[in-house]
Amino acid sequence: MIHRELLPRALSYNLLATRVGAILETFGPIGLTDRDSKILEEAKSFLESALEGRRATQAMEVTEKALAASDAYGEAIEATAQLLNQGAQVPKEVEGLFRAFIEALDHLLARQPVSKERLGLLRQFFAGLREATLLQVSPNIEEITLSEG
Amino acid sequence: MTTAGDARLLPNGERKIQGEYLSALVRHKLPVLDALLEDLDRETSIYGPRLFARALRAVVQAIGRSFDQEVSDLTARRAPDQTLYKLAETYLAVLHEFHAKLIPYVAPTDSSAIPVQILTVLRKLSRMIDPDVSLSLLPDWKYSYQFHGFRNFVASLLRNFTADALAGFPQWFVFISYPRLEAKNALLHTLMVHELGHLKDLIDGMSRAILDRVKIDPAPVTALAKEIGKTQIPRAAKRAGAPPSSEESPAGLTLQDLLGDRILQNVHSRITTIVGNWVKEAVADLIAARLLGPAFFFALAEMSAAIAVMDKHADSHAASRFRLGYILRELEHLRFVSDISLAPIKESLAAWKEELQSKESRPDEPHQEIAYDTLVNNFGLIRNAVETAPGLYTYRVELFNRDIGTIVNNYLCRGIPPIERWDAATGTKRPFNLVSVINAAWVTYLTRIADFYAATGAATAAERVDSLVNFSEVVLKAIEANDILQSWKE
Repeated sequence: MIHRELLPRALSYNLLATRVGAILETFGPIGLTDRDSKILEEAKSFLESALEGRRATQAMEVTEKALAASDAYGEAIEATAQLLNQGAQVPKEVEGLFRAFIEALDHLLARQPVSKERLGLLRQFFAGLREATLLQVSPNIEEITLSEG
Repeated sequence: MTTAGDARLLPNGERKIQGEYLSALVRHKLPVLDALLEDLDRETSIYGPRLFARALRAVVQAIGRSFDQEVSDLTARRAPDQTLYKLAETYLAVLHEFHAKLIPYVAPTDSSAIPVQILTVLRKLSRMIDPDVSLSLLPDWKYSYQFHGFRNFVASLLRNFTADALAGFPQWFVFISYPRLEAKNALLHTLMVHELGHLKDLIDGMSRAILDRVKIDPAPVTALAKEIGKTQIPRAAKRAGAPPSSEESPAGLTLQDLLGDRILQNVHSRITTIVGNWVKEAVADLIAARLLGPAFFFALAEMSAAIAVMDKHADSHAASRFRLGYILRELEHLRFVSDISLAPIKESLAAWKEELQSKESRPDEPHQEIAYDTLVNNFGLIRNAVETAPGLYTYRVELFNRDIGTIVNNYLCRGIPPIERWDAATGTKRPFNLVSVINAAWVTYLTRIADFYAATGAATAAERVDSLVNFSEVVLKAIEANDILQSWKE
């Protein structure tokens, strides 16, 4: 068997979502630091990877890159489901939603205004990503093994 | 116990646990983890992964610095307490992963469970594949052989944190684990060469190049996703109280739409994982078959029989009937079946061929079935990649025919470690070919072990068990002496 990941991808996404959440939460008074910009660039990469994962899934590619992108796509779907569960209205095409998020991030990075609604949806999406990925890495507090004759 | 200072666990109804409290928990756990790693570094035997323990420690310390930096940033920008809470929660999850997944690699190991004779040879072979490899052997209570490779371990972990790069560690940390029960079984350790095959594959990028060219038939994947959707989508819709079909749903995206996408993604992802795993295994199998000849075939056949996986497919490995089938075809290609001069081995390989063909090896599980078809349809790519791999030694049937009879009859059957042979061409003594020694060990075990028992005076069943352990020690001694002699000659 081959060991694949050092840090599970879900945990890397969780770290990213936590940091993006912190930036969007405190965004405004002090603007973006260099580190914030780097994190928002990573958030963009994640969404681009999710789009790539959607394409690779439809094209049935089996490359290692396709698998990594497919993981991002799966987590992005889970985050979108969290949005819907909270009653958010999102466009019919998931692809359009991810592209709208990328556009919003581009605007933020270029220090251009983003509508309050769009910013709120983006914040909710990354909060959803955080919750979905945390569920995957939560260990059990206790395990019981029982053998009875 | 934690040192949470004056942070309160239940301060008020709104915030159940304060971010400050959770941060204190992270700050407490980091030095404890660091101290544990310091102890483990000290306790690791000279054959153990000391460098890995140091790398882990360096990473833990860097994570601690990263956490302090992030908390300080959040405090400076007056982030809400919940934001600090979430950050600390994620760091705790990272530390848990460290504890559960990485520390076991540096857990203290009984040195007697490490076959050092093989370790030296494997380290030499790994350095031939890539000089920047730190290889360790890991006895495991699981009954399996495993390869664990960490490329750019420190750098790739630290990429997730705000930490400076750390120098002084090798590019590769490699662990080969084996069943603790078989620690002294020289014959089964033949399988470690397959594990080294994974390293060669990863460094040369063989599987990656193969997978870039593999085509999967989309029709059965889509059909499988639809089939799964038939039961899961209505159930989820019922749970969510949504209309039964997407036609009746509003203009926006629905959970049903998402579930359809998620199911297809899941099906595709699982099949991609299986194809990737099976391609990697096939590459490592063919590398080991070319390097070791029939010895690898016999080792995999014995291991498969011992753990009953001859007809059992898993997402990580195809069933052994399938694997042994293509390994035997590779041996046939290398003329081991047609030109081998030892009649009992020739007959044994022919019997195996008949046995492997007697039953279909196609899996029943639908994801594995699609992966199986994909692998069968693309097997030519795998064979070609291994056959044309640069710098890959291939053991020849001519060497087998030249060496095996001598090693079996004059050495192993008499309990003598085969170390040197007289080379008429140069008029000097030269070490035996190491691969011939391993093949001769398998030939003795399979066809002449009664002679070894007789030579060592093992008459009863209990004495034969001891005698077989001695046989393994003779083989390990031969490997060790051969390696020393080779080094000395170099």
